[in-house]
Amino acid sequence: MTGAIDVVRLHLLDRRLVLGTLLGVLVFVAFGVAVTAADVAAGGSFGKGFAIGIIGGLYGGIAGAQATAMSRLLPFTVAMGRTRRDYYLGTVLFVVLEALVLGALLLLSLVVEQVTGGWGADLRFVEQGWESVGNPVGQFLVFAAPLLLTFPAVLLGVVLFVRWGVSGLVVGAVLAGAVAFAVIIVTGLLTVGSTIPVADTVRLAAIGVVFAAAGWFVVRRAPL
Amino acid sequence: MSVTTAGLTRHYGPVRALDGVDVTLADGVVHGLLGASGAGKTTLLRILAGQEFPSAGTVTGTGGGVCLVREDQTYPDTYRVAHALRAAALLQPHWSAEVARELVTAFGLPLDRRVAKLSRGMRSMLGATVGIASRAPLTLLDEPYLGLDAGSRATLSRALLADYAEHPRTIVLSSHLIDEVADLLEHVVVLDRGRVVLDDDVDALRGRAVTVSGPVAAVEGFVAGAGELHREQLGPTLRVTAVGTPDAVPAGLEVTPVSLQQLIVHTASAPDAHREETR
Repeated sequence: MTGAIDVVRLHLLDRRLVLGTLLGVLVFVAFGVAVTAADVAAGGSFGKGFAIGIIGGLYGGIAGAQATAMSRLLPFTVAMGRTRRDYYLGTVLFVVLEALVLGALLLLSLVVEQVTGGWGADLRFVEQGWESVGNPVGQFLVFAAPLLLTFPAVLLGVVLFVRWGVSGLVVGAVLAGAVAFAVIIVTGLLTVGSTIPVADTVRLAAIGVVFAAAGWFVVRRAPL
Repeated sequence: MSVTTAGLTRHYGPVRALDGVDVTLADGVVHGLLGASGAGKTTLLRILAGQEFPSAGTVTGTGGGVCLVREDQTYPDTYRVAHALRAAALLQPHWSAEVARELVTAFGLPLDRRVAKLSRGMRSMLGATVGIASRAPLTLLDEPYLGLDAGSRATLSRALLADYAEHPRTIVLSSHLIDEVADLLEHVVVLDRGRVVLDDDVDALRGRAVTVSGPVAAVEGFVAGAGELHREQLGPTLRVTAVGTPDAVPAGLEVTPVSLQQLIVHTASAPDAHREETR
């Protein structure tokens, strides 16, 4: 476990990247609020689809921004005498930690939006994009759960790339995406284009766990 | 830390990067892993560090702590020199911050510059700093002199020897520039097309082969029955590099010792039967 904790510290080592990620969330929220303001000014109402689109970009963008660092740190960590298991466990811990922090940051944004009466102009971007739960813990889970899906998905993509290059990444992404999409459609887990229901956050995180487990089976025999 | 490989083989499709490699890297010795580009040096180092898996064969004895600095070591794009050093310090339990600081100063490494923006030579300096300051029981340096100017090469050699003298450990220097590392080595393993063609202590090797030159007939007579590694003839003068020659040198022949570089070059290109005589 000590090795995994060292890898978590390794991911946190570049403070500019860590702070930049946090700042990225705030930039996304600010962008969402600005789009909301523009939409309201133009049409008098704000479409939910805009909010969901921006939020999808937020989750995907934040996770994708870490992909390069994750892929580069794997061979470095092993070259420095640590195991693939140390790297993978540490990286999974890091992304869980990051999902929780970013979820808390989004919750804070919601609180600010509500306290300021919609950023001082009745602009309800954060409230529109996510389902409103009414209690802080449930709301926090709604904010964090998509990251517990997207981060492991990106991590799986990273190890597919490390092991099999671009072709592995493309084939893996298509297969994983098709399976995830089929599961979502068949089980009625999500309705595409709608907010994420609270009850589904656990299932989203469960898909993330499947991705994370699949990633381990890829990385444990990956040449670096 | 003593490391042993047995029958180590790694093939990529039809290409055999390593082919039945049996070597023992003794504890507390500076080893040279030498050979031409593509001989299998980096593949062997990657397997020793656990970055690569063998197709067949075994490696034993690498459990006590490894530091591999590859020629093409990658760092996250956002990493600066200071980040790379702090990352290595975090992962290497025997890390010496003092040695790292001294080498950064000696090399003039800019701590705040992105690693991706470093020149080839500066990347080698950073790698050498990581490798030496790690004080890992098994330190593997892949082409550490690549791109270094003469002054930096001397700095690296001095620092490596000084720290090794105080903290002996198993060090493997991989290089195709044999002259650059020859003075540091106590033992050499030479690879050629994935196979070990030479594996011996440097002191034993230095006196083993000689170059004989003189009239063709006299040289032919002198080297008859010896293991011939190389020959070149210029008019009436024949020049032969051989092992196992007689001690008594006939008049008219000139016998000179062979440098490590010459011995390795000749051994790698010699017929298999004669290679065996150098081992």
